[in-house]
Amino acid sequence: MKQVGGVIGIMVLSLFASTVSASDDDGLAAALRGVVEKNLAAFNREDVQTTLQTIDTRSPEYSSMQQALPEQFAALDARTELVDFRYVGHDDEFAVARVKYRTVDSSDEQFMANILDTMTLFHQENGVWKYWGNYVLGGTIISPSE
Amino acid sequence: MDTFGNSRAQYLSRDTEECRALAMRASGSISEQTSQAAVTGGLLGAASGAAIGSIAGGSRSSAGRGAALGGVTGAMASGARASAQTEAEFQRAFRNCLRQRGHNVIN
Repeated sequence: MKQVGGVIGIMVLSLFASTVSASDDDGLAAALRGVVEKNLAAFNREDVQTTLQTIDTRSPEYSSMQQALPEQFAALDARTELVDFRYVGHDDEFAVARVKYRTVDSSDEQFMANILDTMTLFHQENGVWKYWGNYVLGGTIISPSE
Repeated sequence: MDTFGNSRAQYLSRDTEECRALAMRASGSISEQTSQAAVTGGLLGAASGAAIGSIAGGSRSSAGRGAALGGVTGAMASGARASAQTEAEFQRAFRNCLRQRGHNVIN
C-alpha cells in the first residue's frame, strides 16, 4: 500500500511539475511574442528609440540597428506584420522562437514585399526580454497584395 | 559594358539599377520567387524584412542603407534572386534591357 501511495505521489508531483513548467513556458512565450509585437509596432511608427528598446544593448547587432533604423525610416515606408510566432524553448540564459514577418512598402514599387522566416534568439536585459539575434532560415518574395 | 562612344553613358548607373529590377520581374513570377538562403547576423526584427525588400528590389533606399545592412541582406537578396529564376534567364533579360536603352553590352 505504501508503494502504491508513493507511486501516486510521484505521479501527482510529476503532473504538478509539468503543469508549472508548461505554465512558465506559456508565460515566457507570451513575453517573447510581446517583444516582437512591440518591435513591429515601433518600427511601423518609425520610432527609432522604442524599436531599439526591444534589442539587448549587448547584442552584436545593436550598433548595426542603431545605424540602420534611421536610414530605413528616411528611405522607406515599410510596414511589417507578424505572420507566425512559435515558441521553441529556452535554457537558463537564452530563449528561442521561430518568427515569420511580412514586410511591404506600397510607396516604393521597386521594394520587394517579402515574408521572412527567422529563428530568433532573445535575452534578458535588466529583467526584460529583448532581441539578441536572428538566424534567417529563408524568405519568400511575394506580391504586395498577398 | 563598354561606354566608349556611348551617348547614354551618363545614364548607365541608373539604367543598371532599373534593368536589374525589371529583369528580376521579367524572369519569373514574383510570387514564385523563393529564397532558401540561410544566413546569420545582420538586422533584427522588422528591420530585417525591410532590408531584404529594399535590396532584393534595388529600391530607392539602396543609396541610404549603409554598410550596416551588411552580409545578411546581401546574401539574402542573392539567394532570393538565384532561387527565383535561373541565372541565365536573369542575365538575358538584364542584357536585353540595357541594350534597348542604348548601352553596348559586350557579353
